Amino acid sequence: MSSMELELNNLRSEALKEISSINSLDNLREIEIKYLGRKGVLNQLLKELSTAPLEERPELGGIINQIKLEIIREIESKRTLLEEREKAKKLEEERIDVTLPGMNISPGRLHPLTLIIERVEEIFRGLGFTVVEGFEMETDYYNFEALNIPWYHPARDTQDSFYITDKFLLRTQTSPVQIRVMEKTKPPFKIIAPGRVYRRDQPTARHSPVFHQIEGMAVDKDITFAHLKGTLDAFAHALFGSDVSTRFRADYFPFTEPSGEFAISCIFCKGKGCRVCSYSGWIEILGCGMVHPKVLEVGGIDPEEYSGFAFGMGWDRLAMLTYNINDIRFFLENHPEFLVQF
Amino acid sequence: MKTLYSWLKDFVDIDVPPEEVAYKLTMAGLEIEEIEEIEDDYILDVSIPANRGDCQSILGVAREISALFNAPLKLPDEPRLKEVEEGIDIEVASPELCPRYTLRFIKGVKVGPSPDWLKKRIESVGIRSINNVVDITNYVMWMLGQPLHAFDADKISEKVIVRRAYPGEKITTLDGESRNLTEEILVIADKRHPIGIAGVMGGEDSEVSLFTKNVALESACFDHISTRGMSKVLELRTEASVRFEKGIDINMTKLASDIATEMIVKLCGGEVGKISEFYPVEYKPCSIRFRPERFSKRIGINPSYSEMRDVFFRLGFKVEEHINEWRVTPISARRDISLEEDLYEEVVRIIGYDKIPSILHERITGVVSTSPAWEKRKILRRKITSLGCSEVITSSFVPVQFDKYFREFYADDISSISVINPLREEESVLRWLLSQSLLSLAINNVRWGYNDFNLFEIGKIFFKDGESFMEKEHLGIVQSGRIIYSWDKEVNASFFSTKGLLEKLFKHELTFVPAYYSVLHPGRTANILYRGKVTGFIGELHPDVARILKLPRIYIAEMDVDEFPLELFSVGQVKEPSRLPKLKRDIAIVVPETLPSVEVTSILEEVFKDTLEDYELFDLYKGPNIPEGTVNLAFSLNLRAKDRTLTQEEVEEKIELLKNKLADIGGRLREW
Repeated sequence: MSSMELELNNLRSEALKEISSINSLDNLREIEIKYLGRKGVLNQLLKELSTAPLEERPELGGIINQIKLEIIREIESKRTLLEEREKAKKLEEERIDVTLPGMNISPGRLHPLTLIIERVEEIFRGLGFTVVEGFEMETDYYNFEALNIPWYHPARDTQDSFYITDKFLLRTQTSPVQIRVMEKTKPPFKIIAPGRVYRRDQPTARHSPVFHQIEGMAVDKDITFAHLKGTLDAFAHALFGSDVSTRFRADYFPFTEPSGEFAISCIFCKGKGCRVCSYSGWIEILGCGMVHPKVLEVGGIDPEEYSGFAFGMGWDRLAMLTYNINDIRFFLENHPEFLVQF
Repeated sequence: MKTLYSWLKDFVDIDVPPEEVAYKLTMAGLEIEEIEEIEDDYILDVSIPANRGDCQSILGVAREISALFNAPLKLPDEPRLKEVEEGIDIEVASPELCPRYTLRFIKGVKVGPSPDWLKKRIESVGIRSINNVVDITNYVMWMLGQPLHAFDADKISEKVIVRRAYPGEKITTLDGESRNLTEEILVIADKRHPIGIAGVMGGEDSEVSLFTKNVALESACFDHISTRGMSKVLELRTEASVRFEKGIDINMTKLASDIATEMIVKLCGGEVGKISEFYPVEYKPCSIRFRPERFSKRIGINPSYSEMRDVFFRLGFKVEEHINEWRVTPISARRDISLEEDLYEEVVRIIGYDKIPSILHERITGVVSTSPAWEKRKILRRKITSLGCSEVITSSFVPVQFDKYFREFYADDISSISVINPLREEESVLRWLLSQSLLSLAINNVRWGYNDFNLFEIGKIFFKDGESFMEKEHLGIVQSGRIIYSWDKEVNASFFSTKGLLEKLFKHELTFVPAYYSVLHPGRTANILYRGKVTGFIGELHPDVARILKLPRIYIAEMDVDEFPLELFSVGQVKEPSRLPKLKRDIAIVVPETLPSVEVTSILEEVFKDTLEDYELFDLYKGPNIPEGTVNLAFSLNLRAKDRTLTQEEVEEKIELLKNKLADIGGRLREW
């Protein structure tokens, strides 16, 4: 073995030793340059080959190339190793505590009264009703007189009103919408009119001076009390489930005749009797009846030609029943702990 | 009204448990709120509808039971009274308010305690026992529905006059109250002065006491409207006035007097004197048309003629049958029945509402379309909640301290509205802006310990414009504290977080112009214009106001929703998406810091025209790298032509143009 060969052998083992001891990609790059760079050791050797005896050149060249390939291979495999190690290190550094809480992005929530009216609206739309609205500031005429409630009528006692002037008041019921619709519209029509109403009642768990009602009315040539029953039965079953029973009993309202009160079997005790239904097994939902002929006349509709039914229910009360809420005041109080549950 | 089961049975022959009676009465419109068991009897508490004056008596309720159970009604017998020749003259000066008046003289009674049976009966229905004479008047009133009043006859000077009070007259009523009378009050007077308020309460002077020897027993019918008015004016409701208000049976007046008289002489001794009576026009109920065919068309059931006839007979009504049309005459107690429809109700009430079938009315009647305001509200609600804002619904009344808040939104001649008769003085003002309600809610939230909130309300506001009362629909937003947060980062509420909501809701159709509101931060307030008109405002609560109200930084915005057409919120003309590549270009513009950014963006829009698909201000910088007094605005532009691929040259051309335009407003493009 020539001294050249010996030298090359040493070079090879030294390079491999060096590569195997390297621990970082930076150092590996230095080694790469040192051996394989343009001015690296191996290129230098190839240049120096010209000084070697002519007959040895091919063999020496072959050896150098072989060493070169070997170093390249070693460096590449080292690089892969180091890269994997570095990646693993980085991933390890990026490790998070997956048990930490997530970002708090609150959804926008709807108020429970809105959730209820959307359901009610959907049900009545399905039954062919449309939604109309009235004024909250009404005249005594629309709120009372036109609805067959003259000033001396005892029914006014239960509807103590907030007055704005001696003629204008805050409506005590959504029923004035009945008159306003009839004045503008030729039958047939079916409407619901949800809205805010006001009564001068001291706030308690059951009464609020500001509350909401949903009025309903249908007028056509052949409307009967049986249609009123059908409509309200369908409504109650859609809202409270098909397993509730319904009940109509006689009642009195100045603007309907005959009048009735509509109740469902108690949804809490299934009609067995509990605190909510005052142990009667029934929960009153609304007042209803056939539109009073005088009211039809006031609205410009001939009671001989047309007939209609009307109903009015407590919107807040529906929400209270649906969500089992005991205090009506929660709705307008808007406590965050209350609202967040819907 | 409390009734005693045994007392009811005096008038109707039934043999069923009280629960069954209670159930049937309830279903027929007289709700029994409670059945109370006492010794060997039951108390049924009947709730009487406003139109059923006839049921304000044991007899009235018994009559209902009789009709419902088809059991015979036992009417009280007319007593035969032996009269002596002594009486008191009467004069009715206001017959329009008193269609019937009777006064019976009873001589030589002995006033004392009532016998036990009488005491027990009246006390069980809630009447306090006073003495035998007074107890009898109350007993008969409860039994027959006719209010009675006994005067001490010796306290009556000459005769009894039913007249309107003279201005300035006074009376001390039985409850010891001295009351000033006016001409709208009907009084019972003697020659000298009033001795009672007609139909409401007697006077103290003429009260029956243990020393009373002679009694004048009044049984009368007073006008229901005037009694109600008097009761309201005097703020005095009595068992008598309640009965007159709902209407009594005018043909019961004399019978009730006679029955009470018979009881008085039986239980208190004495002799029956003469009865003086005023009843110029006898009331006879009118017959009402009843068309069986029409009944079926209105109610949806077809009872047989005999079934319907039977109902009327059970109610004591008279029926004359003609072909297709009957004439039905109610009894005189049933003043609530005047129309054909009233008779329909009687038939279904007695037959039972449960006999009516339940049928859907299937004809399509979509003449009225759903109100656009309703649709708009639904769209807005859906959109704004999707942006993380939560709904509240607050009262229309606002604390009086907020009355003039945000005054600058309105013209000078617009004022807020108050109710004349509030429940509490501090809650008399109707909100003229939702911001008032939301501010009030913000105070509560902070007091409850919630400093982070992001809320909206859509609701009515009220104001007076000249002589008209206006109500409009507004949208209000209030934000405070953190909107999005976690342990490593947070987004706080700011003017721009609130503004961002509005831009998304109203599709960038709004213009923001600096404005002054005394309760808002002078440098952080804007009026919001839509098509050149002020339709809202936005701002941070003034730090001074916030301090007084103990609030943190609060951002408020309010929009008059009625000013925006429904179309703005619904899906418009759908554009076809373009498949041509977008050219993204970031630019930095340095302008004087006093220049509103809208001046810059309008130049951008003008220069790039419709090739500018959208743009975003992604950075705003003030500091060492740019001259003092200037601000660096970094925009990211998305450029795209509708019909071709934009070339770099085209864009560079526009950039040159932009440079010139910017120079006009004292700005320049900053090279990267």
